[in-house]
Amino acid sequence: MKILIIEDEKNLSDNMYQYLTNNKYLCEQAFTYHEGLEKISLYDYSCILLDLNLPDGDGLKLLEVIRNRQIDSGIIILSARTSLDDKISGLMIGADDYLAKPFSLPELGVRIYALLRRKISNSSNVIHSNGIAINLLAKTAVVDNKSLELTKTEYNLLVLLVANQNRVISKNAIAEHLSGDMADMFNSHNFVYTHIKNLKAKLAQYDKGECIKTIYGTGYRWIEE
Amino acid sequence: MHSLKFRSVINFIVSTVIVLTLVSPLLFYIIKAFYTDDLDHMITYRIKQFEENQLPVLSYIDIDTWNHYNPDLQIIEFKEDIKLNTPIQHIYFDKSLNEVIDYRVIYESIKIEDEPYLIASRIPMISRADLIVMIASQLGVEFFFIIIGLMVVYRIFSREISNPFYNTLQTLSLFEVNGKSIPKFQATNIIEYKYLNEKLSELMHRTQRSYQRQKEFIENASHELQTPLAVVQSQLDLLLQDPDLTESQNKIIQSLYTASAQTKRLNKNLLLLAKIDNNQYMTQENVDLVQKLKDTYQLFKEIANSEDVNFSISTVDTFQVKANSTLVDVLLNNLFSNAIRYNKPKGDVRILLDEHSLIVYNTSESPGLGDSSIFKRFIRKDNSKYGSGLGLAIAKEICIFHKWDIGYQFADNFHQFKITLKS
Repeated sequence: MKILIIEDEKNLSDNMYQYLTNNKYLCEQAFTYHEGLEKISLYDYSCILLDLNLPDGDGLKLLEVIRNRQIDSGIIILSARTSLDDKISGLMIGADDYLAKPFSLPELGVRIYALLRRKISNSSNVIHSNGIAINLLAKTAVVDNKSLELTKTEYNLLVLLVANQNRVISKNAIAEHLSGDMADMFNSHNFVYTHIKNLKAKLAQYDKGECIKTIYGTGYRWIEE
Repeated sequence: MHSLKFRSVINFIVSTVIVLTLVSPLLFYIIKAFYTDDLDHMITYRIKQFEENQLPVLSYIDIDTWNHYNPDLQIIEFKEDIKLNTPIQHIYFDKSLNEVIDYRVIYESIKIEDEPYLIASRIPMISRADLIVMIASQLGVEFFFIIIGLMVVYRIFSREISNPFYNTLQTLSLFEVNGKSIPKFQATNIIEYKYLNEKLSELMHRTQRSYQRQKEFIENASHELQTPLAVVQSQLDLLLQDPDLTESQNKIIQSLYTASAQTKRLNKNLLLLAKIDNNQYMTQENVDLVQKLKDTYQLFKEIANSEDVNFSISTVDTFQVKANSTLVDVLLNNLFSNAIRYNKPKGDVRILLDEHSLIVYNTSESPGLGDSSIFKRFIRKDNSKYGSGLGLAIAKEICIFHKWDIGYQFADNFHQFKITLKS
């Protein structure tokens, strides 16, 4: 699956590129409005990451162009603008998701993952990992045909881990993902630890507890075999 | 503290009293001098009349009779040691009044049938006490009329002099540093006031502009910080993927994550404050507060549980309020996360929503936080490393924005934050 990163900040673009490429995506980079426009015209992308503040044009304009040309890529807006109005107007004219800077790479990973599942798997909304079937639509998980009774938070945690499989996800990224946009005042590592522990315990009932690996207390990794 | 009007009237009265008091002795001596001079003319005139009319026909034997009928124009024996032709002051005893009285007296030498005599012409002076009373009552009357006059004059001129001043004051009180425009002064044709108004207008313009710039600066600075912060965050996320990281390296990365999260949070809160200050959250809608509380309850319950804190909510059935939905979310999140963050193990957080207000109760290790300085920016009552120091400042700003009242008290071992939403 091809992803186009339109972002003028080279460091950030490179980091996203590196993180996502390792995640089995094929990435390309564009650093300006015109470069982006050119690439969009030439190739098809499953997903476009679009920065709104480009040196030679407004990202929102680019979004308009993409939609007018009936290009069927999933679009995630990346922006330093956090005002609510931007969010609404951006989504209104056709972006699929919105990520305010600064964001964590695992967060970007799970957003892309969810978007691509929504866009592509028209047959099934079920993803499989290590024998666990996760239904993204029903928000349920099943192991060996037995339902895994997860709380909403545990479900979100599982999806985050699976979407970033074989990547180490920092506790901070998990805390942010679970507590949402507003409650990020929490440095609550207890909160993350509790939920990881609970999820692990539930997975352990089906001998899947080892899927989650702890990295020196800094982060966690979903091992995909 | 007194008003300008009161002050100026009092000052005038006091100074008038002082001046009148100071000039009264002077007045006394002046009046006395003129009076004495008059009397001296009178007694000299009487002698002249006597010499012209009576003396030529007066004989030696008439002297006693004359003296009997003219107590104030006595013919006495000639004495060498009496000063002649100059009025002098002398005290005589008045039998009828039974007191001594000052007289002006003048002696002249005359001759009756070639015998030398003295004629003494005298006239009683007004008594010193009477003179003082007279002057004092005169001054009193003058004082009374001066005050009356002053009031009249003051009323007439205040329209020109002080009314523009009070207008300026009133206009000035309408000024808001955060406002969109500056209040307009009434036109005046007094040069000084015109100048004052111009200078004040200029000052208000500048204050508003620099406040505006400061807000924009904070907002821009926060915006500019977001991209580098995103780079830091993503670098850390990548670094964490290195399979060869040692435990000590991981510890360093963790502390970098913590610092990065704090910076992010601080930046986000600064941006939020700037946005509230800049009135970027203008839209208001009907917010179902009960629903909002229910939405946030689950998340905060989980967070509280992981911190070993009991979290409970009790609300009325329905509570609609006109507000900005995003800001209400922020407000609830700030209050709830504070209540959990500053709690103690096995502590309690209770949220109560009644018909008028929302109250957040929480236990804590620390005693009451005291004054309202807790709502100021970057005030932290303990050395907690978690808070950005802006949570309550933001809560306060949000309440001000919605014209709600937020208060704090410590009672029954509970910190209580109360937001009065409806009176």
